[in-house]
Amino acid sequence: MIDAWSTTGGGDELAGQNPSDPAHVARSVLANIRGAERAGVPARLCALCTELLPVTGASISLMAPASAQRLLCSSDDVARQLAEAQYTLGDGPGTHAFSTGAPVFAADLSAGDDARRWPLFALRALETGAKAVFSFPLGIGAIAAGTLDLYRDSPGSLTEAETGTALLIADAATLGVLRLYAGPGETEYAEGDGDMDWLRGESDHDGVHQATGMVMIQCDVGAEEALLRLRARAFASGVTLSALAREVVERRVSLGESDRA
Amino acid sequence: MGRDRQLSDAFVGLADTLGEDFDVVDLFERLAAQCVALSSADAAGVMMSDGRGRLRAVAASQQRAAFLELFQLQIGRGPCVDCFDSGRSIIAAPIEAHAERWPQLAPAVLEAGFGAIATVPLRLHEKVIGAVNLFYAGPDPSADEDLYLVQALSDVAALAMLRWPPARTRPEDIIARLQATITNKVAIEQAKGVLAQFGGLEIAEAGEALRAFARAQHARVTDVARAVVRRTLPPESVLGHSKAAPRRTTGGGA
Repeated sequence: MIDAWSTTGGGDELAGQNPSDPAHVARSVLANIRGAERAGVPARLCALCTELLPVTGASISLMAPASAQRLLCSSDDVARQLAEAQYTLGDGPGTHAFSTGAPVFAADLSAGDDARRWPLFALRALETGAKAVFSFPLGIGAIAAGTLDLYRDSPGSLTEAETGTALLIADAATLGVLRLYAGPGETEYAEGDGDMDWLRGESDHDGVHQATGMVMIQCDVGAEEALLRLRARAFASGVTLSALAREVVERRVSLGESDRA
Repeated sequence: MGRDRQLSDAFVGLADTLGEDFDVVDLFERLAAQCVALSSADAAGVMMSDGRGRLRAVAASQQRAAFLELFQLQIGRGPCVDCFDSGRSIIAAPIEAHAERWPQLAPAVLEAGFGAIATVPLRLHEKVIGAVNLFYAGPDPSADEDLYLVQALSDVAALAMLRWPPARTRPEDIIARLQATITNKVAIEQAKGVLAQFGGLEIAEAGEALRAFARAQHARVTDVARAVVRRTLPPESVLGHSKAAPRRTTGGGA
């Protein structure tokens, strides 16, 4: 699987052979959201979950730290009710995924560990017809923006490859959701290559995250905004995000207002 | 301290995940440090699968080792990648002898001041979830003598990562734990950036300040990091503390 990612640019021969190949999944995710308006991206990603994964429905919730949870989009009414049940109960797989920054897999809410772990939510979920729920956090490190929640109308877990696909869709949804917070015009971002680099693992670089923290202080903005500004600057300068991050960490580039000239 | 005592302390230390301050990133940093302390390796690093078909570097005993890990991940080649794919230990000593197999890596390893690399798989219930890399200054280390011990330390740390769950472990529990580790690691890097920029520090110094503050406050490093990045803990509190009282362990408010 590693090789699928390392054959940069030559990955096309792999496409079509194995639909769960990560590079292939990343390409379909991007093809699916290309050209969409910012506000329409989350709904497209929800729909894509139901196409690429053995799930019945999907929803994306925003959870800004200081305010209430908010349903951003849902692929059907059950997905909506599941999200709302968690807001009301204050607990459930999505709430847990959000606070831990790790996915939660409740493959069978009708019995066993999953039912015991969230007794009230499980009861409510079964009433709506959902038998399994999988929640993926949308965020990067300390940035926690919301969750992508999937449900199935029959019990059963995701395979490892399906989980990988869901994680990649969640990565794309994280960017999509962060952009909703961004001010118009100020943070024009790199569609296409920039997003592909992100899904290919640009966030693996420590430097990107260190630079995010540095730009927070340079520009007096939150982490979300700092990351978007870095991406926008990289795009405008025609360099990769990781290359720009290295310049920032080594203090050859600053994004602060006074340093802009 | 005798060798036996050192070994048993290492195993007990890695397995102890019951404390309130248990932190998975910290666990793997301790694993890297113990590998260096107890084997003949001069540096060590830990990588884990990210569930998306890639490996990620999560801990390293020093910067040069961290760089070489990232380098292998970027070019997608090297002993750590091969070890992860095959699930088998690899010794590349001296590294020049493997220049044909890893043409880009070999010169980078020499450049970084190392002569040999060894890698053992990080395993959990028969599943390979990552790799532990050992870096040797000399070209001809007694790496094969290290592998058994490092594998044992790694196995204990991997199990500890799951906090010895009482019930059966499902594959998705492993993925969830790996993701939590990555989230925590990234939060720490973000916080280091905030502190480095605010205090005019190098990244490594910022990391030390973060850890010193967490130790003094008896807080988890990842919790402190999260508070810094979410701007609920001012950077001056963290930095002011480390300058004013670098070694005090009695806490005493920020």
